[in-house]
Amino acid sequence: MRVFILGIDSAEPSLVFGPWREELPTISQLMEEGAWGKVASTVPPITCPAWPSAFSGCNPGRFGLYDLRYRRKGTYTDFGIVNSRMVRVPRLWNVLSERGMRSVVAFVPVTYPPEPIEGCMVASFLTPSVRSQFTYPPELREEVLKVVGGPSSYIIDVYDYRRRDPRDLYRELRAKTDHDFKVIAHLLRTKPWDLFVAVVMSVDRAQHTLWKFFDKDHPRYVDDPELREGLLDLHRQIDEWLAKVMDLLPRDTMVIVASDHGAKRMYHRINVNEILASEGLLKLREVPDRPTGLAELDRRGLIDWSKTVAFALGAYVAQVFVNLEGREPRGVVKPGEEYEAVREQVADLLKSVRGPDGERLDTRVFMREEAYRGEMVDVMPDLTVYFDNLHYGANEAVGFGSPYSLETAKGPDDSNHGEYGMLVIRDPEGRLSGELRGAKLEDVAPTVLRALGLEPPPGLDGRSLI
Amino acid sequence: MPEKVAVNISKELYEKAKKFVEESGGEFKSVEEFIEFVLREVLEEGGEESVYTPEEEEEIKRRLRALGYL
Repeated sequence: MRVFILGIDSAEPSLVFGPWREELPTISQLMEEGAWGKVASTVPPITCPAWPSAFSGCNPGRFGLYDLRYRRKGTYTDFGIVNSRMVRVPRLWNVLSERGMRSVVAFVPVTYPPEPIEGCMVASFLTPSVRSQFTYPPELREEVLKVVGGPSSYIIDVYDYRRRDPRDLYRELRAKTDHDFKVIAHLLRTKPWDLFVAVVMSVDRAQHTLWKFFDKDHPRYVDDPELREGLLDLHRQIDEWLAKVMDLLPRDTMVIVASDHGAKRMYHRINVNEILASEGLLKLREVPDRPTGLAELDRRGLIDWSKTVAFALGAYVAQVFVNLEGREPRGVVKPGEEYEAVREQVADLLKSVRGPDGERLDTRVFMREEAYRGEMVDVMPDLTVYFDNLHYGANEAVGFGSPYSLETAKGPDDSNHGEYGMLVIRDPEGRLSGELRGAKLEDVAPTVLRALGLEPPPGLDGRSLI
Repeated sequence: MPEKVAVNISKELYEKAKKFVEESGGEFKSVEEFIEFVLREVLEEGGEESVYTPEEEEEIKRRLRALGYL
């Protein structure tokens, strides 16, 4: 038995399993011949914790990622970009390598810099540039560049996409999907493998900018016949490519199609730090007259940390850190009762936030220990907040003069991430069928190991679905 | 060969390191090599800081700003 996994970053289960099911014949057929269902993403439902969780079987508290970026030790707002070495728990390809089994890993988030494994690896969108060493083994780089037509044709990601003409963006995302699948097909044809994992990002990029063209309930819905099916078309394109690459798979291959999180229409963003500041929990020496990010406020000395008890990061969810004594550089909140009281206060405050027209929001708060377990829990946010269960995003900038923002400092955005991804598994031995219920993203790794005849290592948070 | 600099350490620690090297069964050829190894381990512990150069990190951040993350 071998396992082939296609990750479609951000594919929304209620669309793929719902109105778009008939439009996606390859995925539909896999559903009919296997098992399918929504899969609970990580807290937060964001790419960089989510895929490592799926492929390690561990919750993010075990490896300490909560976003694309992280706070450098001993600082409040000096942000680094996450990389593969921060995922200290073994991922599927590490487990297989130890047993002499081969993996091909293509475009999987948080694999830069690529690491030596049995098999080969092409890193994902956190590759700094086309000049970087983004493959293992290093000589694979030239081969991959040749497949796409040379270094000038290699696409790491789309650029500045929020502010561009959506038609251009749509064309570029189609090109990116073709580009990635050309590499995937090449690797399938030429490399030996027991496990093949590839993740495509184009749907994620498209949800943020093309959602308003198909969703008539979106507050910023635009009726544009050319773009109405843009997002669906990108799904169709992936479905067609999936059919082509499945022709290259041996018969005894388990096929898994998964997304790391879903997507849902976004109404507004909540300016969390603006709210914390208005309640005196975040102490500003001066309120900026234009939207200013937390790092810039800190750099300009506008935050009085000695009087600040909590501050928030986050674009899609709010990630609140308490200014805890002994942990933060200038912590003022004492551990124990005082810490708990601050968390309760912040939770009550953020749960009480209403929409711009006074509407009640279905806001969910996850305390750190509810969401995470493991040796890296200390670096994780103290509270994670899903405003209106993710129909409202978050914004860490201050200076809007309002708790809400639409055209934000970060650019416009149509959709937020959803708390469920999709999961389809076709097992050649037929052990799984029908609708999967209660699956979690971290179940993917133990399921794959079991399919490959390996016993999942003890202590994983996920459990095998077979 | 990278440029070297001299560092003074306490004699007691040096003797301990020397003993460790002698008992390492050839894993370390000298006290210098052992100290370089230990320091590298400690300083690069966590590895995350040393992966991207400042220019590379800026390049990635530029892209991520367009994703609305930064």
